[in-house]
Amino acid sequence: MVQQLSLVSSIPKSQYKVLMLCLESYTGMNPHPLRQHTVILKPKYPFTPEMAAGKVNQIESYRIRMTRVWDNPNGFSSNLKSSSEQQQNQVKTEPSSDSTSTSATTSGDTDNSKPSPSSKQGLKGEPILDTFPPGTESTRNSSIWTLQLSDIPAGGKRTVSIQNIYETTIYETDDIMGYVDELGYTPDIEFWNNGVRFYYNDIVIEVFRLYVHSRGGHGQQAGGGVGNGNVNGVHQVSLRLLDGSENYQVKCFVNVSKLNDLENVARGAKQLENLKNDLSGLLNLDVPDRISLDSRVNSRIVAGNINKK
Amino acid sequence: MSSQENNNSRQPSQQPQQHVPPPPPPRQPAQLTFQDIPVSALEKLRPSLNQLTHSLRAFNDSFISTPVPPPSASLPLSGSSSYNKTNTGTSTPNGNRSDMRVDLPNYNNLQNQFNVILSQLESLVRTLDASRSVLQSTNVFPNYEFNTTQFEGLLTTLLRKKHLPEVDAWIDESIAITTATTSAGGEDGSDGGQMSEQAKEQARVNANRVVNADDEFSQECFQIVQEKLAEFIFGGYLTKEEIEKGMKITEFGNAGFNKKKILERSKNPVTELSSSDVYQFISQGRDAKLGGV
Repeated sequence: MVQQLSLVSSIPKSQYKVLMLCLESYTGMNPHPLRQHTVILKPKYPFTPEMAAGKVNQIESYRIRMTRVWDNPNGFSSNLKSSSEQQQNQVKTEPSSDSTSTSATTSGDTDNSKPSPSSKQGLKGEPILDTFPPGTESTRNSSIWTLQLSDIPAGGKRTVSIQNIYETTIYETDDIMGYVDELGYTPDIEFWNNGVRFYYNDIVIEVFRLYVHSRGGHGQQAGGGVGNGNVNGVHQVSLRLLDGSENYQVKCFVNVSKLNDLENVARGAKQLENLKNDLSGLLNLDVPDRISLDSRVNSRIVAGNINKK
Repeated sequence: MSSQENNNSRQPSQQPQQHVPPPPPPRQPAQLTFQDIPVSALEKLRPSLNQLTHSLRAFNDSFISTPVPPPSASLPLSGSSSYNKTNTGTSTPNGNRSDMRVDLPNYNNLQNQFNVILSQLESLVRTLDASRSVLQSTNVFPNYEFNTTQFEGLLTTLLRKKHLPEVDAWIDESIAITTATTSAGGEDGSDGGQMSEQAKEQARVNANRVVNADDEFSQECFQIVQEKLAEFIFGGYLTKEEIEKGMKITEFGNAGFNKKKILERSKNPVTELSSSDVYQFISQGRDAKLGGV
């Protein structure tokens, strides 16, 4: 279990290069790639304890995030600079795009077994929630998955967000979905996280964007959408940006491994504040909204917040 | 000494009862009466005058006493003459980078102080106007206890009604500017008619000079800022090897200005997600606001 102190921000795409250059100079390092495939799990059976008056109800069920490293078999070259250009160019499908434009933009990607010299092709990922078509195989069982549970961040007026995170790694399993099922969880959605990481003192700086299945959300298209294919025998679907405005998310965090290590919490908070000052003008780092980080199922404050909107 | 003042002694007094009676003969001492002194009118003036002098002094001080490091007080620019003068004049044209400090008072601060002074002036004018008749018909003179020979200098200062020559010059200048600017605006008032054409023209030129001085100063400031900026911007993002290979960093600000993209975007407006939307999605999955994804 760790305590994670964090500050977040977002930047428009036009500032990405400037930010990269600044962070490279600031941290004195080249960015490390950050690519993750995450599946959100939620309890299979809703747990609804009786809400008795006068009784403190301390039982909550939480969602679980299941994460693995996302290898893009056809996507990235080792050169990160060109990959960032690639990011700039690809994924044109806007959320509102209809099926014709989707097929138009992704038609070039269907034959992706050939390595294309142009960097126009979109990102691809292997969805584990699809039934994989015949003739393909899944890497879901050969991957190393990490399960992550997160508490709602501590309340009160704070300069940084403090959140408890519980994490465990599954080393080996023959059937990951069966394992999850036995835990009493069922997959909800999946998304892909693509970006870079910097390290500065104890701080980890992540700049990333989220991708989802490109057919997502707009009616289930027959056949699992267009632009799918298989790469090296693995079923792949093309992805689109979750955020149509193509903004980048920036997350700066410090992990403190012990709950009672107040000294390091204070030190981490100080470091984050210094980083915030140093980057101010370029980035407006801020405490993330506590409610949006609440991963409890049937959370009443989340429900209340949505009703307010 | 009693201190009533008559701003306009030539004008016949409408309220003779306001006059303080002439000093009684010396052999009949000690009966000073204050009942004829317009105390309330003067007391009303006192706080606003106090405030105003205080504000003006603070305003003045904020120009003068802005802390400046001793070695090089002002911009090390030989070209910006008026700039250096307004600072301290101890310019060191060859001052090195480390002790170079630009010490101008905060603009917002100055503006706020100026606004305060304006409102205080306005309130002073209103107070003066309210007790105009009393103050106009009141005369000031030293009473018999005042040692006029010893404090003659003080007395003349206190009782002086004529403007100082420099104040007269300011007033004339202001009047000239106002008439010039109003007549330039096509509004030929009766005052304008009294001036000769040449004087008018001169006044107009002066007025323009004064009005534009601010712009010129801004221009000068802008230029200085540009020069300084060019010195400070760090451009060394490429190694020597990379430069020799011909790499360039060019599209710095241009990434967002792809016309086609902007056009496309205006056709398909996209909803921008805030950070909290994104984190809500990460934490809450399908149940978040973006649930359908």
